[in-house]
Amino acid sequence: MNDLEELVREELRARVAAAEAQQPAESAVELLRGVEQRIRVTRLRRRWTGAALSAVAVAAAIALPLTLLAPGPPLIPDGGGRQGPVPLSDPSLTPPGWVPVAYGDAQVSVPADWHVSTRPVCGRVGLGYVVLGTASTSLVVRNPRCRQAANRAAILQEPGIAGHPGRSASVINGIRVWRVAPVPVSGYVSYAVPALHVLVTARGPLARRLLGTLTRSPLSVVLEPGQEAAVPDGWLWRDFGGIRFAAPAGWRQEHLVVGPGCPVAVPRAGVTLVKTTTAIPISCSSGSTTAASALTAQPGVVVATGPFTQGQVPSGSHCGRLHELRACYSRPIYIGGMLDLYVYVPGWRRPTVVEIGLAGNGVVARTIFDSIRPG
Amino acid sequence: MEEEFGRFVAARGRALCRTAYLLTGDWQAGEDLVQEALTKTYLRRHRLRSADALEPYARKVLISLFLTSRRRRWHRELPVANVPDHAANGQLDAAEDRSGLWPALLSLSAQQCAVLVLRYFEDLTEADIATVLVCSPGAVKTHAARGLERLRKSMSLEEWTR
Repeated sequence: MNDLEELVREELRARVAAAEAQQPAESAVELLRGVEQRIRVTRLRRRWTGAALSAVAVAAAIALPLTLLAPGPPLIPDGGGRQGPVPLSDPSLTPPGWVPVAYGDAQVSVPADWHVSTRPVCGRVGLGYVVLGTASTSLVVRNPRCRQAANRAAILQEPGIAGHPGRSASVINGIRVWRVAPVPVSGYVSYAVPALHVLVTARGPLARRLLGTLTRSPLSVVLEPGQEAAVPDGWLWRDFGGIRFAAPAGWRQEHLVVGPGCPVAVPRAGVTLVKTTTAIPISCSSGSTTAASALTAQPGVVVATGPFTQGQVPSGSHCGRLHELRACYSRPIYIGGMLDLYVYVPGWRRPTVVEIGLAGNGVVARTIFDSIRPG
Repeated sequence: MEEEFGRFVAARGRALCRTAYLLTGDWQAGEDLVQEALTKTYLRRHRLRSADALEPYARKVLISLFLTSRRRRWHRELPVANVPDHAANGQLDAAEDRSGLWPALLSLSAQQCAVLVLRYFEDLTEADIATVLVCSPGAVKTHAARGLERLRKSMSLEEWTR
């Protein structure tokens, strides 16, 4: 081996060591979480729900074991005695031909043919895109060959965001926002939204119109502390998987026994009760769309039980007591379309998995969530 | 297989990220590539004969995705943390001293870059690299030689290698 080869070897190792030193120790967990998300997207593309209940199986192998015996504190705080109504998402802000894109506690609407991504997109100049990321996500594109769409937007989660005294404050759809310049790219209009723990930013001819659709997400409605949602008259109570829950009477109900194949569609205004009596396959071939329209949430609920439901919740889940049951929920990171809830029924080896579609103003999802109790 | 896959990711995911970082020059981009490769590996895991085949298959998919992305000029800029304002550590300082070797490595063609990374970082044999790249060992030699030659020229390192 000559000197150059040795130099290359040293350079590669030094570069890796230097880069690795900058990475957090839990990178493996993040990696697994990323794989899990991609599998989830794949499943959504194929629009089959049965498999959706097991895609998190990848994470199960290294997920930390949970103490399942004690229900613990309430899963959702009671709001400290707060009596006021829970603020809702506003679906009327979504113009015709547009679709809502929710991320964390926030939601904006974008044209239906836009793409959803976790980073800036090159090469699709005709279509806009919305980036869903964290406050550290950069919208800067350094590649000079990258041609981006004129219209772009981002919802960036920033849990620690506080007020920005001294900056110009305004109100969008009843939500107080602060004009900021967090994105080091010209042309973006950016707002900090402390109430929703996000930064929203957009550029292009549609920027103002898009920012004008800002509202809280249905997920935030479900998880907002406060009074428990009352089950309306006319809703039907259902017992399945050791739990009892309510759903609108008009929703059609479907029973499924999940087997090989990719047969199950996400129910729209439906209740799908799944028995996982055989291993749920997730090897269906993937599609390719990341279109916002394809990722829109459906108002429905899926409940699954059986020996092949997910045994352990993904790491980072929030656990607590829900009507004397221990339950954990996993906040969707990439797609705000559904809330995964893992309910531990005493004496049952596997949790009952509930997936609640996060559509509309969030009231239906919140009511279903709050109705869950021992069966 | 799910548990085996989870264990595999926990044990070898970081190593794949290192390789991917060297290919892309960006840790986040590398992780993105690895996630994609692991997703594809997971979805096709039933076709693999044993758990031992996971890593070679994942590496092969990783390299394939890298080559494809470069071929299509599919450069999606990656999210990065805020630009660090702290000093780099000593290892990076040492690397900086190698007078532009890193940029030169990243400027190589995708095949040349992949061959050099697999050869000098992963320590794979030419036959193994040929399997990963789905080419002949002779092509691997050619890519390696041309890659080193380009590095030599771009760095004016002739005197170092004689």
